Amino acid sequence: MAVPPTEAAVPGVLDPATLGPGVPGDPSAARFSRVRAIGGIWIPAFLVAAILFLCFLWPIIGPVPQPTGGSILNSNLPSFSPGHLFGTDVNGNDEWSRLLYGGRASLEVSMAVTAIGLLLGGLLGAFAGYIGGWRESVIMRVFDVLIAFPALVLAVAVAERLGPGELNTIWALSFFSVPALARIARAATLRVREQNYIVAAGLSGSGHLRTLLRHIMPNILPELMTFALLGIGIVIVLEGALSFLGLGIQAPSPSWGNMIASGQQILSAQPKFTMLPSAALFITVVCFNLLGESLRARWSAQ
Amino acid sequence: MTTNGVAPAGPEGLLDVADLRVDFHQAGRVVRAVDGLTYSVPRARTVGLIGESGCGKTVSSRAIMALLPESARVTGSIRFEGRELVGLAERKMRAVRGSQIAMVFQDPARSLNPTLRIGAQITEAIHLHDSDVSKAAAQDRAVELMELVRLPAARERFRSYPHQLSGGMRQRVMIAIALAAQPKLLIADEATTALDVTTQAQIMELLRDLQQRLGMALIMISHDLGLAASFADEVLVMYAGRGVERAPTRKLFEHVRMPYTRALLDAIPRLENPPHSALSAVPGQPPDLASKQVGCPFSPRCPSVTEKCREHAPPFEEQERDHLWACWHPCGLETKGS
Amino acid sequence: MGVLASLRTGDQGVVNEPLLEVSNLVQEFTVRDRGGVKAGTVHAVSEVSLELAAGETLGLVGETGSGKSTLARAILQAPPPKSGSVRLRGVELVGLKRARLTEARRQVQMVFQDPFGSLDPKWRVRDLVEEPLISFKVGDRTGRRRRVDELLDLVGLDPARFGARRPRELSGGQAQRVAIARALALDPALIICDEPVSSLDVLIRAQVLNLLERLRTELGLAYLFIAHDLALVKQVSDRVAVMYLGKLVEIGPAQSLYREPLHPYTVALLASIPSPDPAVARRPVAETIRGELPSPIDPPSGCRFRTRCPRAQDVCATVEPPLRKLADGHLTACHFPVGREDAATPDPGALEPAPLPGGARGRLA
Repeated sequence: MAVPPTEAAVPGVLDPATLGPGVPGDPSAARFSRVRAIGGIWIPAFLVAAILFLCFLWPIIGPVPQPTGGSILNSNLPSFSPGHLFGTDVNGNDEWSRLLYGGRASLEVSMAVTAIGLLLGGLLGAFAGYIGGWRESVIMRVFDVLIAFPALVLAVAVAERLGPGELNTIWALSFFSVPALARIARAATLRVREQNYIVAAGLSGSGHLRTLLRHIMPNILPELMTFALLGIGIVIVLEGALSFLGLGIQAPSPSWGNMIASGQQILSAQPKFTMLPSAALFITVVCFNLLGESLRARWSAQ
Repeated sequence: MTTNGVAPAGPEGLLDVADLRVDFHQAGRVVRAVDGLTYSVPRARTVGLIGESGCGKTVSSRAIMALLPESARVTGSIRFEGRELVGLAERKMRAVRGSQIAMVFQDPARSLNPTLRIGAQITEAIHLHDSDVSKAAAQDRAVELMELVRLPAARERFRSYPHQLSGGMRQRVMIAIALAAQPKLLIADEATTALDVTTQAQIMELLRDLQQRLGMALIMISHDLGLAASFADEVLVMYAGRGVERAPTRKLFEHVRMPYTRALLDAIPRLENPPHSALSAVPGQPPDLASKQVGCPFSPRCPSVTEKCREHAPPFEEQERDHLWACWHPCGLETKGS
Repeated sequence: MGVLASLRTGDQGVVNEPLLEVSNLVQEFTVRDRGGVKAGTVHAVSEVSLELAAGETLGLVGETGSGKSTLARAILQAPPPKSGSVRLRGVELVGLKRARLTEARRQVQMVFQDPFGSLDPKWRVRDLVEEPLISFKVGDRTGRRRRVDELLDLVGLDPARFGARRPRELSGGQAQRVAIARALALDPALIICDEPVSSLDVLIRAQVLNLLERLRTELGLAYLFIAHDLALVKQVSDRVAVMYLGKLVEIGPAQSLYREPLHPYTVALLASIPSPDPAVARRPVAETIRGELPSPIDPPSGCRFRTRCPRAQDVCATVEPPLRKLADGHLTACHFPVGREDAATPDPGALEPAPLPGGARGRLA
């Protein structure tokens, strides 16, 4: 049965046969304009880079005071006080600094969690999808059990067991990211596995490991990456929730979550202590989402 | 198949395409997909629009149906029964589309809604063009249509889903939907390319039959010259967005003029050829439509090319009775100077 | 041509070991419904036997559901067939374990229908062609690179221009050339071409077919050429085999098949080919074949073609026609072969598929 000839790879030659019949809009043009609407990938990338710069580099090179160890004599200074853009908290710590260091903590956790998810989950999921059989079933059933728990409940349970602290928070949240990314990786692998280039690789003498690493992984990576980026946003919020609940990162170390928690008690009197970290959390998650979305649009338009 | 010559451009033709141009504007580039196409479709006749991918045959037919994406700019004239379609308001075009001119696409799997039963999809088409029809009457008409397209066990199949049918049967359903409003012109865009060769033959015979029974005109778009030879009254060969040769079928095959048409013919494997015979192949690839073309678009690949061909694009005109072509050095004729 | 002929047939009493020997190959797939419960078995390939000599091109024709592509995959053990035997240069491939199978795979490679689907979109052309050499540890880095350039030249692609490109920067014809170059890397004796030109434009098709033909004569390759276009297959093949719904229904020399088709399905295929000559009166295809393809899960009893055959009779439903030799190297599985009333089988009781000397295969031995 003939597959219709396409010259899609020849530059300039269009194949409108790929347009659905009767669809006035050209799907790839729509995707393209969506990418443009999101500002391409450069604007979200720039925003994310700016956030990372502020939270990681700026405290080192710029005039940012320590977030802890403030003098009680400086407590509760209002915003725009000299040397304290956003004022100080009840312990005299600079709020701007707490925001940045809090962001650093939150981002460290979320990026570590996502990295673990990508590495462990991505590889395991790809392996499961590729190998099939009982091995796939065992791996995916284990992950299914973990996914069945609501993410926060699972994280709380593990964090409760492990105790507070940044590292423990990372482990706890990995119980969420690893199964989630494994699922994505397996689904993507199932699709890629059917492609003829995988069969061709086998015929060329490529062994299982080689095929998995050199053919499957590079081709599922775009999909994994976009979900990972969207996932960073989710994990930041989860971390915030954990800290809010008293698990996770403990005071006096700031994290956006525990800042929101402590600010909650004085919400009506001093809303800024909750509003600021909330706004920071919101902006960061949106930026990561935009980046993930624009990458997804771009990769699927290719 | 008797033909009485190429239809003149004018009110006698059912469809008159004149100097059609379609440009796509994308990311700052302009791709000229159709570059001055002129042809006519007489009533109740079959015109074969033949060319390879990227030649503009599909784009031009979508232009007729006004089914192009927003990035497309259409200039020139498309007159259907004397009425100009280019620039027609969408609302008015909707009255033409489906009821006057219908289209059957290449891949029936993608053209049918997988979640609706096929009976429902046919009756939907009937309703669209005759909103007063009762549900029962529409159903009867749908079954009639299914029998018209020779779908076996029409009444039972009414409640089937597309995935329960074979490719050939799905295509018959597509044809039934297209015929629901009794259009005067049916455009079959590579309608049989994705089908098995025996099914393809069955569907093509069905189309020819229907055309004769319903007095419908048919534009048959394909890359297969052999198919055109068997089923078209008149053939128009396209290359790089232009018409390059046009003649009644028999005349075209007896006196091929344009080297591209010759190349297409020679590239078809023949049953009579002995095993391992080489196919005469033309080198190179179709041109990049985004870049400006100077001279004849086929010149980089043409075996008869001269300097003149590279510099001046030959005009597409009637050179012999009922036979148009665009070539400075047509096959089988003395070159009248270069 | 003479050399090939003597290799191929046993007319002169020369019986060479065939390059490829497929015997009673069976391939089935289990179909499960949504609940995962087994709903049926697709009989994709049922007891197919054929042979291929070195340097020979065997064409394999069939439409959807014929099993031709499945047969090709089964020959390559990807996945292995349910039963039957595949011998490559005398070595049994079925049941071969990983390392030995990989080694055997050097001899037979495949070119797929969709050139873009068979090339990893993330890899560059040079790496794609080099991959088999790396997997089999052929030569050193420089040696391999040189061989890659050689191969690209061989298929008509300038290594300097194309080596660094990715598949999406290639046209269909160019991509298929890369696939062919890769298939040639290990110097195989047999290349299985599964619809190698169906997704290419008409003129490009001719280019690639000529390339395949040139490689055949230059390198002495054997081809199993699979396509649905009988005219195309006939043009490139020495012998042609026709499959329908998992069964081999006719096999014989290409010219023989065309001049004297024996099986009604072959007749239908021939009638369906659009002839690029409007003067030739076409026989309506409706006379040669009726109805729709039955389900491969529940194929018709007896002869699988009987539900669509204009010549079918009662015996066709009860007794499955065996593959019988009716002419020189020309076999068919039909109770009432076309134009051969002498070979019709009216009496089912008398039908005894006697084993032919050398087995019922497409050879005269």
